[in-house]
Amino acid sequence: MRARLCAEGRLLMFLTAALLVAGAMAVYSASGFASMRYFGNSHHYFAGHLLRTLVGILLGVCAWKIGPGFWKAVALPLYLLSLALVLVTIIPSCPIAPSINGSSRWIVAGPVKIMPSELVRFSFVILVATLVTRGSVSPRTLRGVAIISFLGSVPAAMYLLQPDYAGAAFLVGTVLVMLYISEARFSHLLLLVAAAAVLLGVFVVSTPYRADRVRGWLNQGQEVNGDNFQPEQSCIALGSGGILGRGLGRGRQQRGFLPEAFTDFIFAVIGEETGFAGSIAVLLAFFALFSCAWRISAKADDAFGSLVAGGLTASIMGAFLIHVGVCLRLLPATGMTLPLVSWGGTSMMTTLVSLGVIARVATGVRR
Amino acid sequence: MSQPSPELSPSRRDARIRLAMVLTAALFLVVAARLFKLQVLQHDEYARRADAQHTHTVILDPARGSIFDRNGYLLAGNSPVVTLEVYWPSVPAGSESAIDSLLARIRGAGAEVPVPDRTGVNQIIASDMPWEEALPIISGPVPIGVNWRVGARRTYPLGDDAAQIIGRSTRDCNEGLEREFNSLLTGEPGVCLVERSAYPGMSITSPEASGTPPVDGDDIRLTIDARFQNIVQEELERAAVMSGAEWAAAVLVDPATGDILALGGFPVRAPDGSLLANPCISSIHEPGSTFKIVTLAACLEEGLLTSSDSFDCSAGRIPVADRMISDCHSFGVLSVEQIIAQSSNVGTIQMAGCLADSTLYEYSSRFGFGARTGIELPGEEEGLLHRVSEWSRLSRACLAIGQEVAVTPLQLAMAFCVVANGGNLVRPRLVAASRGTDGWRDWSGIRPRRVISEETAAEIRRILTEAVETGTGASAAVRGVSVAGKTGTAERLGFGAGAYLSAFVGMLPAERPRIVCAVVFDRPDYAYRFVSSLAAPVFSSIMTRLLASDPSIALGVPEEAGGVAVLR
Repeated sequence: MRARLCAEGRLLMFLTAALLVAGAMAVYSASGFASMRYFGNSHHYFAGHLLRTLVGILLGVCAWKIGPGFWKAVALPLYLLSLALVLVTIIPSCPIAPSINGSSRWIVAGPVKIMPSELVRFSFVILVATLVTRGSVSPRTLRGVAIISFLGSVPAAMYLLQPDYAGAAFLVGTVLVMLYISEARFSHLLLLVAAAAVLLGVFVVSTPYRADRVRGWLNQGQEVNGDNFQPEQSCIALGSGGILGRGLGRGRQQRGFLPEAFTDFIFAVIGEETGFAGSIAVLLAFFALFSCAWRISAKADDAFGSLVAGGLTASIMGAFLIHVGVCLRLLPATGMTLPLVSWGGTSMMTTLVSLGVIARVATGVRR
Repeated sequence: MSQPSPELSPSRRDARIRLAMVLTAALFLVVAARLFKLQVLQHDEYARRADAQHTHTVILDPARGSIFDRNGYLLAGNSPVVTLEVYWPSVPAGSESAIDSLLARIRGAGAEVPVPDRTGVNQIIASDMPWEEALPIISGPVPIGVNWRVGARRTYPLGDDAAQIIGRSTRDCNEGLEREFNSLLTGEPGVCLVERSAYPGMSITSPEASGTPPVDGDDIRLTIDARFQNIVQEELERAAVMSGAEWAAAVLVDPATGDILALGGFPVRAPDGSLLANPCISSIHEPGSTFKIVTLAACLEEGLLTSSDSFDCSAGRIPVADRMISDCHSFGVLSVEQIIAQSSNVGTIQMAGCLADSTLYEYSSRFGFGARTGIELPGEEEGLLHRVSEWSRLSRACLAIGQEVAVTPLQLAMAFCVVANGGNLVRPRLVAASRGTDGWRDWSGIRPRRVISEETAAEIRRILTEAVETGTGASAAVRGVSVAGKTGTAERLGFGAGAYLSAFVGMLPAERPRIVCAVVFDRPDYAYRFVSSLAAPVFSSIMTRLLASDPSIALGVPEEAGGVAVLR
C-alpha cells in the first residue's frame, strides 16, 4: 500500500474526523436528558456511541486497506445477505425483528441492533458497480436498466411491508443515482422517475398516517399538534438557537420535546445549541465532504472505483439531505440519521466503511 | 488500469458527476437559505415559542413583616403551616389504603379531613396544618400522589388584647396597622423561572434563569408596650362588664414624644365575631368636664385670670341665654383653682365670660380638638368643633364646660399631654421604627407645636393635682406617686335619661409627668354614673399595676452607683 492519498482524500479524512468529534459532542448533549431519564446517568447513550464510532473507524480503516477485488468478489453474497436480513424483518412477529413505533425496521439480537436498510444501500452500490464494470449488465440498454432497477426494487418492495416508505423512496433514489452515474440513458431515467413518483404517490395517499405527515408538513407555521408536533419542535429548536445558539449543552428541546433528539433530530439540537453559525459550519463541512467525494469519483482511475465512490457518496448525501430536510421541515417527517453525527450503530458503521471505500478509491487516482 | 466497459465513456461519466456536484451545491444552497430563514429571520418568533413551552414561572411569596412592641416582644408574626393535597390521577391503583391511613393520621392530629373524592383530580386533604403537627406526617414516606407545600399563617401572640391596634391581615379586615401598613408589611413577591421538560416532574431550576428573589415585608416596631396593653385591656374589660358600659376606652401615652403605650378598647369584637374599630379613635362623645382645662388654659395663658381669682358660685346655677346651667350642688365662692378641682360648671362658665368667643375656639382648636390627631390607624374620627360663625348664644358657655363639642378619647389624651409636657401639642405615634433590607430605621416624629407656655402648663398641673388630692378626682389617686387629673361626667344626650359618660384623664408623676392616661366609659349603669365610682378608680388600678411592672415611671431610673433612685 504505497499509493498515497490525493488531496481530496486527505481532506475527506479530516472532515470525517471533525464531524465525528462534533457528532460525539452533539450526541452527548442531545442524549443526556433521555439517558438520565431511562438509565439514571447522563452518558449511557454517549458511551454506546463512542464504542460504535470506534468499531466503525476500525471497519472503515479495513475498508480503506482492502482492494477493489475483495468487493467485486463479495458483491453478490453481500447483497443477498442484506436481502436476507431485510427478509427477516418482514416475517410476521419474528422475535428478532420487533415492531418499534409500528414498523419493524431493525433486527435486534441481544445488545446488537442492526438496521438492514443501511446495509442494503451499500451492497446495492457495490453490486451494481461490479456488474456494470464486469460488463454483465449494460446500463445503456433497457435490459440493463431493468435488471438494475429490479435489484433495487426487491428490497424496496420489502421495505413497503415493514413498512418504511421513506426507506423505499430513498432506495429508489439511490437506484436512480446509480443508474445516472453509470451512464444510463436519460429517456430511461425519466421513465423510471415517472413510474417511481406514481407508485410512491399511490402509497402515500393509501396510508392515513403517511398522508397525515405530508399534510402536517404542508400546514407549516400552525399550532403544534399531533400531526406536526415533531417537525414544529425541530423548527422551534433551530429557530430559538438564533445566530450564535444557546450554548453547548444548553439546548432545551432535547428534554423530551424532540422525541428522537440524538438520532433523527440531532441537526436541530446542533442548531439550537450552536445557532446559525454552528449549523452552517456543519453544513459546510458536509458540503466539503461530499464535494471531495464527488471529485474522487470523477478522478477515479477505473470505472468500478468511480461508480462505487459516486454511489456511496449519493447514498450518504441522500441520508444527509433527508435528515436535514426533515429537521428544517423541507420534507415530511421521517426517521433518518445524520451520517457520522447521529447516534445509531448501523448508520455509523456503514458510513465509515463507505468512506473507507471512497478513501481507497482516492489512493489510486491520477495525480 | 482495468479495461473500461466498452459502452461506458469516462468523459460522459465525468460530465454527469460534475452535474451531480452542481446539483449538490444547489441543494445545499436551499438548505442554507432555509436555515437562514429559521434561525435568523424567524428567531424572535421561535424564541418566544420556545420560552413559552420551556419556562415556567413560579411566584415566590415574600414573608410578611412582623410587628413588635416597644421592647421587642412579638405582636404579629408568621408560623409555618403545611397544606397536603392528593393528585388522584397519580395515585397508583391499589394504594388507596395508604391514602386512607394518611387521612386517619391527619384526623388523629386534630385536623378535619374531607371525604376522599377519588373521581376528582386535585383534592386538598389538610389545609394550613401547624408545622409541628404536620412534621411527623411529612417527614415519613408520603404516599405516591400526595403533595405537600409549606405556607405561612399569621399569628398574634397577644390574642385579641392588641387586635384593635394591629388588626388582622385577612382580606376582609379593614382595621389596624395590618391594614394601614399592608403594602409595607407585604413586601414584593419574587419569581423563580423553572426550566420545564416535556415530562411532568422533571424540571430544573436553571442557574442562569433570571428570576428575582422575593423581598420580604418590613418589620415594624411599635411604641406600644405589650405589658401595658394587657393591663389596660384587662382592667377595661373587668370594669366595663361590671358597670354595664356600652363601650370603654383607655389611652396611655408618653406626653413628651406622643408615643402611644397602650390603646385599650372594649368591646373588641362585634357579636358576629368581626373586629370593631378601636373606640379610642372612633368613638366620639361630648367630653364634659375634662374639657374645662381648655377654658382654664385660655384664661391663664391670656393673663385674664390667675388661679387665685374667685367667682361667686353660691347660686348653684347660672342663666345662659334662655337656659339654666347648674352644678350638682352650690359651692359658694370658689377660686379658679377650686372651680377646676370641684369641677364647677357655674364657675367655669363665669371664667369663660372673660374670654372672647374666638379665643375659646382658638384654644380648643390648638389643643387639637376638631381635627384628626394623625395617628397611624385607619378610621380615625376628627370629632366636632363648631366654628365661631356657627355658634349660638349658648355655645361659649357650653364649650367652656365641654358641651357642643365632640372628641375621641385619643384627642382628649393628647390635649392633656399639652399640660403634661410643658405646653406642646405632640402628634401621637404608634410606629417607632421599621426594619427593611438595610436594618432598623427610626421613624421621626412630627415637630411638636407650642400651645401654652411652660409656666401655664405647670400651673394647670398644680391645679389638676389639687383636683385629685382634694377635689373630684380623689378616687384616682395612686399610692406612692402624685397624680394630676380631671374628671368628666357628661350627660349623653339622645340616649334617654340616666345615660352618662364617665371619664378621667390623668398624668403622673404630677411634677413631671411620664405618662398620660385617659379612661372613658360610655353609658354605664346608673349606679356607676359618677366618675369617682368608675373612671377614676379604673385609672388608679391601671396605674398601680403599671407602676408595679415598671416602677421607673414613678421613680425614675435607679442610679447604679449609690443605689439612690432619682427622678430624671
